[in-house]
Amino acid sequence: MANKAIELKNITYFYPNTSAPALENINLSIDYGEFIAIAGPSGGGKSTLCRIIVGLIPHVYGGSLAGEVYVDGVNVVDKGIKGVAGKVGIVLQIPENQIVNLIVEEEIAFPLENFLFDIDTASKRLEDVLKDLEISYLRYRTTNTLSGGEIQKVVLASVLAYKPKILILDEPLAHLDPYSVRDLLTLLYKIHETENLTIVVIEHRLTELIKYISRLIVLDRHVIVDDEPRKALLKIINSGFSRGIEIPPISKLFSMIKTDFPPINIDESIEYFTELLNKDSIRCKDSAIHGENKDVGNSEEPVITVENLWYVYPNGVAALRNVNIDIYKGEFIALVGANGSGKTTLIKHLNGILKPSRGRVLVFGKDTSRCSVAELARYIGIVFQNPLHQFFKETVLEEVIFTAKSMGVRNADERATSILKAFNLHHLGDRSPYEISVGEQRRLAIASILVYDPHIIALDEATAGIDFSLKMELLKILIDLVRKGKTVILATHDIEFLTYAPINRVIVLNNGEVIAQGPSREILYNDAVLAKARIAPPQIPTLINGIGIGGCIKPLNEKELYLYIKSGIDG
Amino acid sequence: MDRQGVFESINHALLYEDFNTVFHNLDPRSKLLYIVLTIVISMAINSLTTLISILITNIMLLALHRTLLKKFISLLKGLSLFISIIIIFNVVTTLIFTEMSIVDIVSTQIKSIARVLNLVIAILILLTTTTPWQIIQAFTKIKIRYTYIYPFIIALRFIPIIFNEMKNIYDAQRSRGIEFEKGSILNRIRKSIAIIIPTIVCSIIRAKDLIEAMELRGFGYRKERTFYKPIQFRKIDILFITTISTIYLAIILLFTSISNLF
Repeated sequence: MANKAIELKNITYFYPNTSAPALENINLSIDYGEFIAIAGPSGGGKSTLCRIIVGLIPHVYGGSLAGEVYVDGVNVVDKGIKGVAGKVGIVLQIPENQIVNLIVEEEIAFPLENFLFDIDTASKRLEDVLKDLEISYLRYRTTNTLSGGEIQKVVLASVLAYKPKILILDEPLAHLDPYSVRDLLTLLYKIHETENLTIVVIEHRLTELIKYISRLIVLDRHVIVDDEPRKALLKIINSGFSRGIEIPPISKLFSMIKTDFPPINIDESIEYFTELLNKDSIRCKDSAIHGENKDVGNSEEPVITVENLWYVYPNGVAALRNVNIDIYKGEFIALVGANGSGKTTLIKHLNGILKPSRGRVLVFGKDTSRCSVAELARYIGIVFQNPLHQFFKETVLEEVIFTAKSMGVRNADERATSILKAFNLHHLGDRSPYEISVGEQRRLAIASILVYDPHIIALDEATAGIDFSLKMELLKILIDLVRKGKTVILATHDIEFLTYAPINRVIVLNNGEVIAQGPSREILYNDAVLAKARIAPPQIPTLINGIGIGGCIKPLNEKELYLYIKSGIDG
Repeated sequence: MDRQGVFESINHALLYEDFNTVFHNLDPRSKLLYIVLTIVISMAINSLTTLISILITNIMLLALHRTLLKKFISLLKGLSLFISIIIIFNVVTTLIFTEMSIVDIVSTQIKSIARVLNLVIAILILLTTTTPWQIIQAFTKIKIRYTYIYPFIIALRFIPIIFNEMKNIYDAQRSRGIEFEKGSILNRIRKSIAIIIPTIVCSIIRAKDLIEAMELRGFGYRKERTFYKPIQFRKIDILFITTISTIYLAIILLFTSISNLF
């Protein structure tokens, strides 16, 4: 009888044709009923570990695997995928790719049919899981009309239907907006509590997740940290292993203040804060944290004007409703909204990929309905969400030269080389764009747009699926662009990321309408607006509002708040 | 814009939609039988009037539901360029290489169009009103192993998804200044590599994920498989098949007897 849900002994693994191990000497054991998070930087071997547990490695991927793997007592290396199928359920990184069937209930029943459940049991399981995950309303929908959050729940339902003992999720939060993240996590926690299910979540976004887990493991080829969440957090923060891991801002804040018991949820941190600091000692000093946002050139002509813009898709759904926005030179703009709020549709109007159904869009005074995309692309470069959608050349360098040439840049080769240097990609010049890492691909996508030096650059969901250190790297690039006088437009639902960026203006979209716009300190502190847009507010503003001093100071991130507290204490 | 229109209309036309027609309530086996009947008859018969009458019957079937008719029209729009190129090619080559009269050539072309459209309508009705899962169950009922049919069905289901992805890739490449509508034909073909390669790469990634997800959920675990909701051959199916066969038979008898008269 097995007494561990998962047990890994001395695991070392090399992918085929590689000389560096993806994982080295991993020892790990997970008990039944645990709720575990495995964090670590991109390329640290998280997904590899996950493939080993379910038997995809070595049975599908090949390579050389040393060590022993037991899942629910079964030796996975010997028995293969069939040995553990049915005992362990897995939700892969891009749940959309995991869907086989067209109707939600067919998809959920898919594994039940494979495992030969009879009609009565299958129908009962189907009913139960629909109820448990609160998705009965999706039952007869077609799977290609679901939102990201809904797809994830359907895939989860399909896995839970056959009642596996162990559930593994590979970066389930990467593409979800903040509301869907909370939704999914509370659901997982509920199932964990009621069914006593063993859950392993592979994820570097810890901010919401950490409240629910019983143990945190950090993986960067080796197991670096393996401890209960608070102690693990302290170890990560103190040892500088935080590379790539998104630590909750409140935990970072309190580690700066030097408590040895970092809070992991807002309520705790409010209690702590009040205990540590006398609320009245916080004086309203207008200078430091209030409105130091510079107002950018309202006197000038806007570079982009969106006037009464409506866009209606061929199927009759209005994706944008009467949008009015002026964007000025040198502004750093964030376009926020939940998935499906119209961010991408709006971005696609800026270079004329989509033409307004009503109203108009002017870019440097040119009406986009009358210009070709290529013409508009000279002024505005757009980086779309998936870098793989644009790579087709054999090498990284050619990829960049290609854009430069098609945009008519003189001395394209030189420009391309220098932009690769600036983006720290020049050493990868002759590699294939498909071989390089996710973060490098993201940088390459941006480099291959910036090579022709457009005045405006717009990025759609640029932080989705990349780890914290890559996000900070991206931020540096963007800040640098703004400094050079470029206009940057960032469409995102990654609200925590915005707290670190010197955004001039946040524009909130909901259901195709602009429901608010203003400086980030105003918008990110406006709970009502954010709630209406189905966006969860960032942690530090939530903390400050929770203490009730939001009218006085408005720090966006832990560093600002820490500096403020320090200056308050010092004098 | 043109290219985008083609993607969208084909994509839209082939998509299963839950709009509840008579055909949704039919057993997939009767729809498969209907396709087989239509194909066999369209291929076996070489009379212009008979083929046109069968086409009219099929269009009337579509006309039972406005959505189906709309889908058919949008599919025609999408395929129009393709079809007209083939027709022009056929006409020109027959004119050059044979000594057929123009009237004969035109009538041959109309016949082949009628055949193609008959086939297209029958398949359109099956695809837009039947979920792949139902088709798989239908095949399993005639003792074909499900693991053999799934690949075809998944390929079908992927068509709209890949079209959609191609559209996004097309947009991303246009944003980099590639002008797909400009230049000589050779040049345009060369430019289309910028769409084809990313599409292939993304499809392979998608396929890899799907295969893993399927295996881990027990696909191929056993040779057999159960179905959570059985398909049933009901009165309405008998009615449908009888009606179709009667109409087809009547058309054939009517026109062959008329032609025999003269």
